[in-house]
Amino acid sequence: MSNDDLVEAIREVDCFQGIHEEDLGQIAKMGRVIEFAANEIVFREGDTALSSYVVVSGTLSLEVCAPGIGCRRLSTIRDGEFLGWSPVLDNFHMTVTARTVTICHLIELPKDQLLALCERSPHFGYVFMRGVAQTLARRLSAARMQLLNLFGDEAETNAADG
Amino acid sequence: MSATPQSMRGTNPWTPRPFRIEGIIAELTSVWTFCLSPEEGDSPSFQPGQFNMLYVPGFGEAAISISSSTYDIPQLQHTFRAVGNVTGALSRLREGDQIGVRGPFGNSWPVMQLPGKNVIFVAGGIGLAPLRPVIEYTLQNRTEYEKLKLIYGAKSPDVLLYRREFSRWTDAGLEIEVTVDRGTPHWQGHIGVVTEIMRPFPGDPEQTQVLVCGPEVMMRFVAREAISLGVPPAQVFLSLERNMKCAMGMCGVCQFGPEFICKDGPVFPFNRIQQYLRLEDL
Repeated sequence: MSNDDLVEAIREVDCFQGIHEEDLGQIAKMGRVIEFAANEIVFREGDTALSSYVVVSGTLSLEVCAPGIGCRRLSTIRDGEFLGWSPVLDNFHMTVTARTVTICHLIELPKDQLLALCERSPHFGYVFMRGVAQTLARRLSAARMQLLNLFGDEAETNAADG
Repeated sequence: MSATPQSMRGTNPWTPRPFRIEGIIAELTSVWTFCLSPEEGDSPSFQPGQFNMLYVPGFGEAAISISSSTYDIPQLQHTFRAVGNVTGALSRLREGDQIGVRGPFGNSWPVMQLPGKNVIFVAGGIGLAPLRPVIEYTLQNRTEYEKLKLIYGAKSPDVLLYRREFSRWTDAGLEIEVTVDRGTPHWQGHIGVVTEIMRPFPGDPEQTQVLVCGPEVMMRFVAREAISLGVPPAQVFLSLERNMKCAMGMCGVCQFGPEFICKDGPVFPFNRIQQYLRLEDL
């Protein structure tokens, strides 16, 4: 993947919308493209939070494993999305397990370098953190919808009175 | 489309007309599609989005959306889930049995506003049933529309309604994205809720109409997401389901603010009803 391709892939991600070209170049420079086969673990719940990722292509599932219920897949992340908020929000550990569903190409962004860029470029830091917050807000909203168990009882969707 | 209740021409809208169950399709656990033909005369014409009152003697009536294509008039289809007294009685009927049908009632999806636009259908669970006639309608007239996309959410991969139709719909020019709340080990598709796969939004939001049917909470979230993506609220249409008794706007059971869902709906533009969707006791 050329540096230009890397820049374009990063530019597509919501979290990086509106950042300066110079900062975009810095992120591309720190990025490393990794290919994962299907059904590979990218990181596990509880791993030390060292890197965030940009999904260039492919689909991953986020899952939580627990004794008695096994591994439950909670959501999926697709190309153009940001993966791994824990490292940049100074969480020490990853909160879920990320497993590839299909072949995936990810750009690995080391936490230390991302946060150092935030320090050096407050504009980048603001735009990026705001983007991370918006991504998290959407995922929270989606999680709330899932909690409502909308399809547990479909009485509301049809034949409500019957 | 007309908001006036329409009954079968020449019949009393209060009197159920006898229909024979010509076929029963077991769709999912507790979900069936009845294929109905009138005992006498022709099936009534209808608009996509309208519903009929299905009557089971001794049990009563239930409002069920018409789920067949408007191009397939001779046989009327209704997909329902057995959730109560009437639908439970319907589920025990067999091919050849007779039921009563009143209708069609209610308004329709805004089919006259769709040509030249992108149309996004967002369905949740069995909410795909009321959308099927308008999906079929747009696919029959595919050249009149820009992008056509179905975003469909369900509880799990094994409860996707009309899955047998998906490849035909895709071949006819409908993009389909499916998401489930709970993935199985073999599920390769999306896991999550429908709002998550509304991004990236296909096409210019101002030139897009969004047609939504599913659990009411889901429709609220979808409308909010569509508006945040730039779709004007008047171009987001929801099909509401409430207790409907008379289907004529007379009994008041389905009153929703100043609207009667059976007569003024069931399809409403979001801007007309959004203030009432927030009220818990409506």
